[in-house]
Amino acid sequence: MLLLCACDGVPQRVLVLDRDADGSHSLRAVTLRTQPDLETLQSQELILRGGGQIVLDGLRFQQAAPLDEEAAQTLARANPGRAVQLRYTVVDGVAVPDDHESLLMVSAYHALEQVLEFLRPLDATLATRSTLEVCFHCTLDVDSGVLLPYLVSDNAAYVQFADLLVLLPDLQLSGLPLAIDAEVLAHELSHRVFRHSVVGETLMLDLLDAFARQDAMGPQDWQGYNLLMALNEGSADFLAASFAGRSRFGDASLGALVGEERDLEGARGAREVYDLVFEEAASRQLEVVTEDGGRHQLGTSSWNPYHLGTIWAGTLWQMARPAPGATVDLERVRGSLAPALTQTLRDLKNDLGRARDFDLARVLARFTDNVEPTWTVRICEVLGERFPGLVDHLPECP
Amino acid sequence: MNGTVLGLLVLVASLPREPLPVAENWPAWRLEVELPLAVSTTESASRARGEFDLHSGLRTGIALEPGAWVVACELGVLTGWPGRQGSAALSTRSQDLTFELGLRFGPMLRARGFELQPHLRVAGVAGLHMVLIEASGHHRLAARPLGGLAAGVGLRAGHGKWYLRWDFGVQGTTRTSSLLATVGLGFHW
Repeated sequence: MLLLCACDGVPQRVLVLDRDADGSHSLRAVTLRTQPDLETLQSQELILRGGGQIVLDGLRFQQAAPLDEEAAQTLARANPGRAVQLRYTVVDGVAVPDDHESLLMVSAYHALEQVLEFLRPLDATLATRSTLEVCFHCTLDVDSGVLLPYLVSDNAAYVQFADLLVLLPDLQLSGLPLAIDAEVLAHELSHRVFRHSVVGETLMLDLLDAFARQDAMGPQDWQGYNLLMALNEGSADFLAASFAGRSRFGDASLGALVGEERDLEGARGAREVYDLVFEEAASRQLEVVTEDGGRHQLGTSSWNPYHLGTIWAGTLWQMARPAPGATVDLERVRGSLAPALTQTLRDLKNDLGRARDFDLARVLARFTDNVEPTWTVRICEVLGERFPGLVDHLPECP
Repeated sequence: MNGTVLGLLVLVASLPREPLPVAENWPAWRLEVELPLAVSTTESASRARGEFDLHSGLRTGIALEPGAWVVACELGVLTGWPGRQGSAALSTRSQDLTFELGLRFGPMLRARGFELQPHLRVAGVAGLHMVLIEASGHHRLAARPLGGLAAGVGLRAGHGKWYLRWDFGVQGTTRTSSLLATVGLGFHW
């Protein structure tokens, strides 16, 4: 009955649900690296807030003329909420969360610490060098006609316009909550790296403007936006898999079906899927054919960027095999390919005037430039298998 | 003030006050036992929403009736219903066990065999908050002492030996502060 002592004192460690090396999770007492104020979970690097709200006014979006900064702020608003209040009991120097929310919050905090520590050497932007605000159990007030991918529960999301990580309530009673899965959070924080590397403030306004004036967008415009979004998703998948050390990241919470779809070694990386999804988009046609055989216009509400994104991530993953069929070299993933990717994203910001100017061939050329020359042959080999229509234009790949 | 409350006050004011005959061993006294069911509100740790906790238990007391008034000393034990939250991969069960020692005071109104007793109530509260975390087959239990005060107003309505009781008030403890509503079924000798 020693536990019933519940002696007060300054906790040295805190009990969290932590990720094991094999991707499983277990309860463990850890020391929080950033030494936050434990009552409110706030530190220089990370601030947890609760009870906030994200608002995207879909109706007003559709009527808006070209957006200026003020109009954009009116259409898209974020209230990050107020300080949380962690409840815990100190037992033998370990702060044991007193309720479910406290356990989720402190576990999420610890997971985010790990992800930031992983991303920081790869990233030279504010994404990992400024305070990250996290809105825990935020509510989303979103017109579903504008942004379908945002779900209202059982998810984590990075909201670009607000530079805010949102952890939604877990209502689904199975699996690990996405909000505390470090591998899922690695994917979301990689979107923040993309935002600070590629998007910036100017392009952010451009993206919001595109949502506001969908009718005025031509197929060429949508081509650029959609491919940019696919690059965003695919890069986040690859960085998350790099963090996880496995192609099938986040499967503790994504479930079997989604986990398989997002597997970097899964069916989406296969040649036939590439033919169906990517080539149609890359050849700048108006429509793409999806896996189920349906034809869709290239619009934000009808085109799914995750398909091509997974192919992009799977292509990067294949590059980490020294030879076809060989085991993926994780050192190569983390030490060379991931840094080359983040450098490519930073280069892309200088290349882009507007989002619609995006050209995937230019990204491939930049990426090939950024990897070590000794691996160029293997990289060109993989690109040749996956992107035959584009690799012919790369000077590094004769 | 809504109409229901106003009507209740008018009813209380209009009832005749008939004190029990004063026995030789003044004041008259009763032994009471009741089964309370309580709902309390709390703010969640993330402050994203309010939560409700359900408690039930046993309360017993001795009520003294000096004249047309009732003063009762009550001792109760309440336990929270262990709410399980989470999934198969991660779940928590939390439970409060509280003891309360309180004082109830108010007029005793009687008419045609019915009793009505509006009252004020204050109580000291002490107990344990326990949490059991289950994750990946591992368990971890922690318990935290809590203490505080509760105060509120209530009404008892009875006939014969049986009565129903409603209480509304606030409760502040070292763990949380909350609004508290209790309903109970009781018996007295």
